[in-house]
Amino acid sequence: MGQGQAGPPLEPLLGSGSAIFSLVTQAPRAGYQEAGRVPFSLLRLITTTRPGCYQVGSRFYEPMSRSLRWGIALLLIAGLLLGAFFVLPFRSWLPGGTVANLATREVVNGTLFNRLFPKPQTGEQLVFTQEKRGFSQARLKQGAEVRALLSISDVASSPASRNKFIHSDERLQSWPLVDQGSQASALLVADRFQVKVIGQGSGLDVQQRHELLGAFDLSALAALNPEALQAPAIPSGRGALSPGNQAPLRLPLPGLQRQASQPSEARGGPQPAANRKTSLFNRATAALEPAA
Amino acid sequence: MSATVLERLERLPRRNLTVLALRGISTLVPGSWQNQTSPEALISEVLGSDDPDLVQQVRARADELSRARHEGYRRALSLYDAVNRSQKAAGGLRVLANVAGALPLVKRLAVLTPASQTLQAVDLSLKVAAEMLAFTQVNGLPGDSFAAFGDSLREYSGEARVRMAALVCFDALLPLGDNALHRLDGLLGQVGSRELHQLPSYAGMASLLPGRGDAAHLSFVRRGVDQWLGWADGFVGDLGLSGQRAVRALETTIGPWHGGLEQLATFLDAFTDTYSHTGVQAVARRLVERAAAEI
Repeated sequence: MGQGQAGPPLEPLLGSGSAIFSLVTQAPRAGYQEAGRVPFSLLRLITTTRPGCYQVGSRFYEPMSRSLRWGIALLLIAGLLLGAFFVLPFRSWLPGGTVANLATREVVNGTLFNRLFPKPQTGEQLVFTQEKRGFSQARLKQGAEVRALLSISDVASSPASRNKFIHSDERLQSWPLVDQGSQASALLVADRFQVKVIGQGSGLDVQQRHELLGAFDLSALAALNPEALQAPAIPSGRGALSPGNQAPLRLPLPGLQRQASQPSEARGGPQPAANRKTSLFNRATAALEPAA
Repeated sequence: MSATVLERLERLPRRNLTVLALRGISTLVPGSWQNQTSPEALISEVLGSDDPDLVQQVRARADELSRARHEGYRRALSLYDAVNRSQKAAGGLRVLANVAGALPLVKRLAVLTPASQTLQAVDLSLKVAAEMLAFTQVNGLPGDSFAAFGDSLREYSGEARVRMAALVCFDALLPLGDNALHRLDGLLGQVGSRELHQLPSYAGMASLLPGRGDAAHLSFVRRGVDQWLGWADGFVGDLGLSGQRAVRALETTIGPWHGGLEQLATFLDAFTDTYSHTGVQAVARRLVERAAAEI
């Protein structure tokens, strides 16, 4: 009784959206024809999706195939989403994560470059700003003013930067030297490392930049080259072996012993190069004599 | 987020409220500040030459570097973006609280909004943490090198000083008062994971913060803030920064302000994005410095 009386005044408040509420409140008065509308339409939906329940024209019409198609489509979408979700954590393993898609272990770590920078003179200060795989950069400051950007990079990830040295006749400690624009000078050491000085602020003249380039520990830098490292230990016979079959060669050979005693190379990872490329400048032998 | 760092730099506004606010605050810092939005101008400034061929090479290299995920330049930008979104959200919340508090009928809603000072303290410390994380992403140091971050703050010069001055003024001195830096630690002590989760930037940064769980993240943030506070104290003392001075500096560019300091801070939070603006410029400069060295 109370239900029937409470029904009408409440309904406008709740709006027509609350179908279940009106179902409950109006069921006793209006009978089941009206109230059963929602369940009945559901029932019709279920029955009509049974295969072969009716025919359209002369063709046998199967409504189930449609729902099947929807089901398959939804399954595919769900599968793709799930797949994407599970692949997401492995994003860093997918290609495109590194510069030039080069594996990080093939690039010399920038940490090894840091101690090869020139020692600051009195009144100067060397502030390291970036240290990445294959790159290290420092600012040379005098007081508060930045004089130059000094950097060493591994050209393995930027092969195009090598091209500018091909036609250079200038040499600094026998390595090719190039001036880029009015403030930058670059040196290619051991065909692998680019050393660059870029004048900042009031700028540096060519002479000063070349002096700074010469102040880097170039012989130690050349010794970091994993390709050149192999050269001394390899007698002519090694060329006969296919690249995959070459042994790591950590034998007590006279050429290697001297280098292995240097602490830098113990960490520096003079890994055997998988395949030796022919050097652009045939610097392989020059790299052996760091006294240059 | 397919735009490279230099494309983001190009899209920065040349003259809007953000730029005006930064120009105003730069009058407090010695040295001139320029709103650098042209990649070509930035490249030729770093390279000391405007040879179009060289500039083009640097640009190509910079784009290649910023597309490589391992190099972290874009990740640094996404950190700044996350923080910027959080600033907007916190600013919006406080605008709402201000407006709602003034209307008699919905006054009770204002009680629901979080205590603005605590929220502001969290916002500031997340910004400092983002600065530190972005620093490690760009410079390539391990993610929790607090001491290296503290040292590098002392090396901040030019634009970076304006950037830090804006952070100190807009996010500490204006909303929290002149003794903000001394109160910050106490305010952070009251922060629980509930406040942390109210900021959208936390959700964006949580995966990049070292450690697991809110407590670990919060302790990381507090350690970062400790390093920053040590430096910021000296910075504020050297430049003689205060809320009043910041307002006067801002008035030179954005016009007279008749409200309170806290309202000015709310206004700036909700309607400017100084942090991500200067962040894009800082990352772009580092990226160009590297690209110029590698071509």
